[in-house]
Amino acid sequence: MIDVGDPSWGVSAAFVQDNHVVYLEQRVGALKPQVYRDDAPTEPANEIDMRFVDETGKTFFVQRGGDEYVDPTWGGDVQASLTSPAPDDQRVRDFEMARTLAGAFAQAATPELAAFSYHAQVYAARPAPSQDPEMINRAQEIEASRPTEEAYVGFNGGGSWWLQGDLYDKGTSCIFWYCPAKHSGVAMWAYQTTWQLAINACNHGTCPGNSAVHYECSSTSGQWYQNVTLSGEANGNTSIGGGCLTSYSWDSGGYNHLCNDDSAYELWQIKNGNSGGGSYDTHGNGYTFEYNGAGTGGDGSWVNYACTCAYNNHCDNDWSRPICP
Amino acid sequence: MTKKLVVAASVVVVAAAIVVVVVHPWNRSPHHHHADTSSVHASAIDQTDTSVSLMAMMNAKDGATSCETAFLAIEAEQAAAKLRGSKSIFQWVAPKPDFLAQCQALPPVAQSCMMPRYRRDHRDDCLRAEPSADVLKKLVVGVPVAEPSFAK
Repeated sequence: MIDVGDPSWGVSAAFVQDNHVVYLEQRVGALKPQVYRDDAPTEPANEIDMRFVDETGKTFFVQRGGDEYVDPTWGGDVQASLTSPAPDDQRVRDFEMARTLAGAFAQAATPELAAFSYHAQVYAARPAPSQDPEMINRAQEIEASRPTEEAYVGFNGGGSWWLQGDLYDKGTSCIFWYCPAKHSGVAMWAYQTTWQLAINACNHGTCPGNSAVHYECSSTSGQWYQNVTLSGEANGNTSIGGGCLTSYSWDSGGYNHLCNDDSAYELWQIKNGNSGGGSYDTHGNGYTFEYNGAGTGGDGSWVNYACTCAYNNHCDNDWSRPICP
Repeated sequence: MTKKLVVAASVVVVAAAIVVVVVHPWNRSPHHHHADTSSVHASAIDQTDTSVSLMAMMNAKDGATSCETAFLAIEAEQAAAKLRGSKSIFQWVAPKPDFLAQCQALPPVAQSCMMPRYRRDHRDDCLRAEPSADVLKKLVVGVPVAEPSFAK
């Protein structure tokens, strides 16, 4: 434990093993909406950011509670990790040590640190990428499809990246056994020659990886990108820190957005390899994601997600999870 | 005597002030930049139709039985939706006598889970106690939730 004296601010801890160190940091953000607090009363009442930092100061896992990082410098740190990745063996070790650190922190945490212990415990319950059969399989598939020339080029500016986004969701606002809406979040992974970085976007509610949400689908970049940005801080007023910036509301037919718009945006960042404008979203503006045509399995209506729902065709039916593009 | 009381009170006040000054730095490190943790960034979500419906049910009064509590919650939701000029989250609700009869035929745990606050506090138990869809649709039918399919 490095700094645990102010639970209203956050915590810092470290784990040392074989002359290597990994740091855990958590920061307390805004109070969650009442509806999410009722939906998951055992979770911390506040949005909490959590990250693991390696011994060279690089962030290799970050979990964002809301749209922006509580500590705005974290977005820049994530970007720095994308431009200066760690050697494979170090990063593999870092993820494994992070899991040990999270477990040890959760066990040692005093009751007043329960909110931080919660997220650490959830992290520790999941295997590190090098121990996870699913992530090992994915890495093998990526390597098998890697063009020969990609292995040796593009190491300026951070090298080439393969991106993967996993969509997790759950019914929310449930009453009896009926849930009138869905909450979703995305685990974004960046691969080079090993899994280098993960950004876990909780979108104000339950985080991906929590046992209360279930895996729905994945999107991949489908190609190797250079100069990847996933922090999106230069994307003007539509997004920052990888999430939508407009006001957050469930009736998002107007200007506002909700968690599923965040998820749609996060998945399209994976497709685009960057966080602003691109050719893979449906309007080339980086924040509009429409699924029209075949409609939905519910009422057959148009489905449209966007960070700024006032544009184009507004957001419709976005109280359900997006698909994986 | 009055002077002694005044002096004693002054000592207490001064001591309290000292305690505040001394305790404060340990409880809240001055070098930490604190985010606004009391405001709700996503507060608008609590003002939406669905959230208002949910909160109306959560705050409804208890009935004499679990099933009566459940029906009172539905009535509270429908009243809130009407007051708000919005639609109920339920497409159809069984008439009260049918609702109570069907509900009382559920296993005891499932009956408890019909109470919104109980369900909130016993999520996993209630997930395990879920009755069949055929049984549930004799009680209430919710408005369908759209599941998107990809057709860009």
